[in-house]
Amino acid sequence: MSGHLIGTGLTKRYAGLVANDAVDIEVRPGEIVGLIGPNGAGKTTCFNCLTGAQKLTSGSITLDGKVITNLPASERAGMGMARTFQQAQLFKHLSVEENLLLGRHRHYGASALRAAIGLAGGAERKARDLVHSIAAQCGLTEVLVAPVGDLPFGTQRMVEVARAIVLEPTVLLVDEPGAGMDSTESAYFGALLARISRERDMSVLIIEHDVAMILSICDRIYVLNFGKLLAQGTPADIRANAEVRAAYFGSTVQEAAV
Amino acid sequence: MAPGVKNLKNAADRGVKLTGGPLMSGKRVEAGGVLILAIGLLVWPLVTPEVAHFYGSLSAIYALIGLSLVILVGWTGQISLGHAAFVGCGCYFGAKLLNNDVPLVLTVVLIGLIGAAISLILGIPSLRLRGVYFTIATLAFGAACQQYFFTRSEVRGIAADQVPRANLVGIQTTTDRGLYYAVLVVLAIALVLAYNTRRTDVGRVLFAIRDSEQAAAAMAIKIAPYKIGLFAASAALASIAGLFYGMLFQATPAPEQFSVLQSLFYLAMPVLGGAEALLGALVGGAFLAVGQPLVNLFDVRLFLMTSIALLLTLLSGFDGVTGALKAGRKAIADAVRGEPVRYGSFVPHEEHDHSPPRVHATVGESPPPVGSVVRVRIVPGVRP
Amino acid sequence: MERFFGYLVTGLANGAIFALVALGVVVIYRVSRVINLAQGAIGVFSAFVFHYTLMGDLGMPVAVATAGAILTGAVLGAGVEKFVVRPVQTRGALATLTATTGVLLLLTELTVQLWGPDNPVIASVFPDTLVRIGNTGVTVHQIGTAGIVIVLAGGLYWMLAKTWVGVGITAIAQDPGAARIVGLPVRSIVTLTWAIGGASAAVAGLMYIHLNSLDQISLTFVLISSLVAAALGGFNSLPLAGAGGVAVGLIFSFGQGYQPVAGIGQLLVFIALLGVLLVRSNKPQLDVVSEF
Repeated sequence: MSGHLIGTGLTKRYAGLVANDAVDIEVRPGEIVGLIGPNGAGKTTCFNCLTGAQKLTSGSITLDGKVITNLPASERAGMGMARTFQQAQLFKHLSVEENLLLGRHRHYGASALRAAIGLAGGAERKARDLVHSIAAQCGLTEVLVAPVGDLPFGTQRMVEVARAIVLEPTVLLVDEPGAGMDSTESAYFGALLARISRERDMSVLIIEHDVAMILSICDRIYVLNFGKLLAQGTPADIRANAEVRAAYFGSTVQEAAV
Repeated sequence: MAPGVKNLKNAADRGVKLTGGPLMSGKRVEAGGVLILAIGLLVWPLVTPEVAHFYGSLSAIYALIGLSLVILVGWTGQISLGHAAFVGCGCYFGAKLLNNDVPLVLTVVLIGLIGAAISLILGIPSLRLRGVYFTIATLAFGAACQQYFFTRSEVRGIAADQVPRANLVGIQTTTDRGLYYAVLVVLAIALVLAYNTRRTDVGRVLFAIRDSEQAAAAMAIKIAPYKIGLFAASAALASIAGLFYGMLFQATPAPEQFSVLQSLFYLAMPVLGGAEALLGALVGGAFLAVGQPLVNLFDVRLFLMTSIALLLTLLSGFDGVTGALKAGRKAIADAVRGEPVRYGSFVPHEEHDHSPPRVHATVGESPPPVGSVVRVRIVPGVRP
Repeated sequence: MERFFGYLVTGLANGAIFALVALGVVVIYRVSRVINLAQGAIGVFSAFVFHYTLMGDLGMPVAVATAGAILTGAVLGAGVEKFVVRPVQTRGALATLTATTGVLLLLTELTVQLWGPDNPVIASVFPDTLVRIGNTGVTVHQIGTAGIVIVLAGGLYWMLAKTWVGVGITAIAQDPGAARIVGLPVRSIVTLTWAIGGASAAVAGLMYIHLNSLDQISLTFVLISSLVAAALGGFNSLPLAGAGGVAVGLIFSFGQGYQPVAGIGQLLVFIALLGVLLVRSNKPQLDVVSEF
């Protein structure tokens, strides 16, 4: 089992502002872990530090026992860490299929030179086969040839997740997939994510505002507030935690519990 | 089914074909067109007088330079204002190799390697940064080459060198027609390499980097090596073109022929021909090559007319001639097939009102601030 | 020592001109995120208009012709923005950069088409008398040039910091969308900024035409020097761009002075730029989320 991501004492300071203050976070192999907190709590910063899009001020990160604190984002991705972005970042000049094929980059298996003289047919076919099967799993077969920019918002999000899955990651970090989705869409999305995680033995760290979705699919949940870890535990623990209610949930918890 | 997919399925059910991405559309039409073009390029010198062959050779040489710029501009979105310097390097160093009896085939390879190596000097520091630093670096490089390196007597100096018309394997280049075929062979090889690259992993990676470096990094793509590598390939092509440029004139031109202004002139090729399609390089090259005899009729400067054509093309919104052709082809196909109105891939359910949606209010600016959710309520109904 | 001071003065005077063009590039970049490669060409074109049309053909007095040339620069700057850059701006940075490249080629070629490739040698508006400072002489013109640049740079600063237009420019630079929403006339301010940039380029061109002869080669020279200067400051910082301009001027004059080889200045500037880029690119890129 792999996909064991541990962040210890993650601290990120901007001039004068502490976005993350000694956050300890762990995603164990095969787990789905939620990261929630009010706006500005430092969730996305934490994410960016874990994936290498931003540099930590202090703290350390390991993936499957290897220290990755100072590796650039591309190398972390090469070790099996995939992510999606809060605002879907698709390659808008390319079709859905080509977007997904890019996830295959690290397993492509044909050098630039061989590809240039036309000897990458096998690698290309293999990549396409995999992409087609994952597209089917994510319900994207219909739109494979469509230019990505034309797709509706929810489908774009799905393309981004599918692209991350094509990387065959051991751990997937998903940043607010539900933003802009309605509750049915986001419930559907959550269920699909849970299924894929199970089928592919992939651990998941997910940021989400849709508390109902988080509570229903996560094994464990971390709550951030003002850059500090406020609470952690199973969905039941979190639901019961008075501090979390006060800081974050308000009345949402009752809604979710219904 | 994923959210939103039902919309597209609906379109597909009604027999609407979804269009492909830029790398995969209209394959059969394109293949036919390329075949006709190839035959035309091979046959025309056999039926034309000799004076045309000079411009044919020049077109092919410009097309090589154009191709080097098409892959740079069209694939990575970077502009080089120093490409003439690479052409100059290829010309001067090529003359030295040929004068030392190095066979032409080997010279082509060596000049390509030399051009690529030189490109690393400015590519490595500037392409690791985002933005226009690269463009400024190429500008400074072009000036340094023109004013300093090319005026050294070891490189060019005041006196011109003879450039022999060596044979390319079996192809005699003593006539302009022979030289045209030799350049055409090199151009064809370069086009095939570029085409293969574009439709496999490296091509996709370059487009990905252009669209979002952040997302590309998340795909385990190391960004700088690709940008630097592509620039090296582009510089190699430009240098090889320079080698043939010297052969065409049979002497090494003065450094002013490889000035910064000349680089700006070359940049018109991807703009006029179109940077999205590889064939844009051929069109652009032909334009510039026949430009000189054309402007001579009117007593205006070639570069002046070129700059006007460049600006008009940009303002037209088409991606050069190839882009305009593509748009025209699509318009004709739609008219013939009676294509239903659509927005991107979407076809409206009811076909009463095809006017595009209007913006009634702007709520903040996209992208919205972190963590915010904008809820929009759409009120259906008919407004008289 | 005498030579040293001579080169220092020449370098500072030329550097001041590069700095002025670079400041224009930076101000324009800040409001519209476009690098105006044609900035130097606008200056040179205005200077030619001054020399051939306003002074020559129309026989205007110097003061009126100078004002006319500055106006020409302003109109060119605003025109480039309104008719070339804005129409293509929705298609992204590549289109705008190509567009300004086209304008650069157009203006350069237009000068040659209209007035031929000869280099006008133009007497300075300032007297050429030498002022002796210690062992070395400085011409009044050089002092005047430096003085004008300092005044203009100061004026630009004052405008950006204290005036309503300056606040607007800063607001647009930070968030064009928000600036539009709060009701700033974003388009007018952007056009105005380009006009100011064009005017300052014209001033630079006028001063350059008095200090040096103007031809295509020296045009490229102004162009490269000022763009490199702006790049040294990251296209965003006015003081750094100013310092960059002066640095480039000094590199040229000392290089050419102590090693009188053709093109040594261009070579040294290229090397200096590579050095700066190397230092910049060795900084960790991780935190650079957008921007340059």
